[in-house]
Amino acid sequence: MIRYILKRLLMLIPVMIGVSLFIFIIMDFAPGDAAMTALGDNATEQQLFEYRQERGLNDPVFVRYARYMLGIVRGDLGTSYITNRNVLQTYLQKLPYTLELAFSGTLLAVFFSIILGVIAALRRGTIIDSSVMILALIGLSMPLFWLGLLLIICFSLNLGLLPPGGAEGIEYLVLPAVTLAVAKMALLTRTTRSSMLEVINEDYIRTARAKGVSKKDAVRKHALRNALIPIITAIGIELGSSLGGSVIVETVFAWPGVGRLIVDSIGKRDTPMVTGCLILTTMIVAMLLLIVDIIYAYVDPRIKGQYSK
Amino acid sequence: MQSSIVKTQNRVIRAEGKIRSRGMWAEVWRNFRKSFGAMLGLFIVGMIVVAAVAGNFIFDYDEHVVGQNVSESKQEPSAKHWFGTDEYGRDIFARVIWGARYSISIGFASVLLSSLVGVTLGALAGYYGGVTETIIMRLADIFMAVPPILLGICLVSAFGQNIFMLVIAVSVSAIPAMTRVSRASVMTVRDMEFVEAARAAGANDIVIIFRHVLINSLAPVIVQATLRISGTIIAIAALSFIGLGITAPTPEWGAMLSSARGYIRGHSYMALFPGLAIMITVMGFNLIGDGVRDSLDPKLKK
Repeated sequence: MIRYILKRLLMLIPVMIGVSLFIFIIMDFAPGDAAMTALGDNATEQQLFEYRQERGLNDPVFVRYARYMLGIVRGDLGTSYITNRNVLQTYLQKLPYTLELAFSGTLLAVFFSIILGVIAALRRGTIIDSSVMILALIGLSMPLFWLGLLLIICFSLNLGLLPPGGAEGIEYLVLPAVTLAVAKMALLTRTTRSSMLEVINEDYIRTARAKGVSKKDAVRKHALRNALIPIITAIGIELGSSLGGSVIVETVFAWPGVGRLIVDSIGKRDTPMVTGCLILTTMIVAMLLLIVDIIYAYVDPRIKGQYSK
Repeated sequence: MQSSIVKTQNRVIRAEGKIRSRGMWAEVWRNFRKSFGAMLGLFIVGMIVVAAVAGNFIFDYDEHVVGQNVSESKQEPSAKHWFGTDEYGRDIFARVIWGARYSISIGFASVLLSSLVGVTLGALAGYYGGVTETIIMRLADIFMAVPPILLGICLVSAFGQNIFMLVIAVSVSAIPAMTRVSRASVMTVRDMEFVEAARAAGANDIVIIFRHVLINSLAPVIVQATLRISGTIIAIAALSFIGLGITAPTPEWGAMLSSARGYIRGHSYMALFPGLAIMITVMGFNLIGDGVRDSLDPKLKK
């Protein structure tokens, strides 16, 4: 098990190198640069040159990359070209917001979608099943940013119940979290339902019922537990995608998370900031997927056996 | 007399032969047709395509779609302007109809591009294995590690904001997944006897990969590609919404929502219709995707 985890962690290193090199080269292609963003349109050539010289921006892209990687090996993710602030510190400052949003959204989605998915599977073919599936289809087809706008129009502008944007308290979290949750719910409900349908007619469920296990317990302890693997996978993927891809929701609700930090930094051609943030986000997502794989081992002993091979 | 019986028998035999030789695609279509959801999806997408084509003749691009008419700005939906007008007095109905072409054509183009590249890479990785496979799959890992929307944003801001770049930006993030699906599928086919037979008959690798292996491993790829169209349409609209895809005054749905965002106080109808258009289109493609999956791969049917 430990060997498996170590192997997975080691495999992360080449991915990180690839991601950072790719981002560095891509950002080099981008028109304009950090000096022009920082100094504005009125800067003279001399000023621009000095600004670039100070930050080593005049060196070729591979030299800059090598310097950057040397820094990373020493645990230094560099400083922003624009604000001169430490990349890691800036990232860690924004991360709690993104984590808060991602976890609350996913938690909401998991709670409702497991209930809905199980009910739909148990009532297969009835009107309840169809309504749940139609709702899931609508949720799956709704663009997040539109849903966010609709929620703002409804709950902030018309009803005046919740703030439309910002992050100054718990009430600011509600709308973004619900927006994020709806899209996830759609997918998780579908996964739960189909995964439950696969196990619900298995012999061991019938055996359990025949032995006198109540229907409730048969569903909860026998069926759901065996249906969990695909559901956990989906939850892991959803959580990962909301850590990296919450840009849209963060933009709609002016939520000060990592996604907006990255988008802003791309706009400012702040290569160290973009690269650093993407490396960190990628690492967190990879860790998360690793944790999901470890959870498998506890849910399903058969998988544990595979890991130790 | 004798000859007529033979003839009849012949006809029977021929008819039977015809039934047996019903191809895979006819079978898929038969399954697809039976599904109400799939046909509904096809109907929805069909209607949107018809509307997009008709819009071409009904609305003049310069006059109705991007032409400004400030005296009629910000009007609520009415008989004259079904969906109301935007801040420059442009008819939102005309713009929504006109916008369909962007979403649908870019959606198709991106999925086609990512499928072509992904399938080729996946086939090479799956067929050759070894170093080829390691290189291709590790590259795929790298691209898969970056969240798709962020990858798209990076690419668009680096290489410029035009429709061509948008197609590439959205495709790149889909390529790794297509590569994986295609590789897995090719691996199940590559050791089959007909591949060996082709090799024994002297066919070279290119012919074997493209004529024998790929053709027989396409089903999962097609399922994956159809399911991806809807995600691609949302991705395009999302990029345009944050100002990085197609920009105003082009009537792309995401871009329209982006500008409507400034007027949700008091003119919320502006934000309603473009979003509804995205949702209905995406729903149509989702239904088709589910239908294709169920009819092409009955094992996956839930």
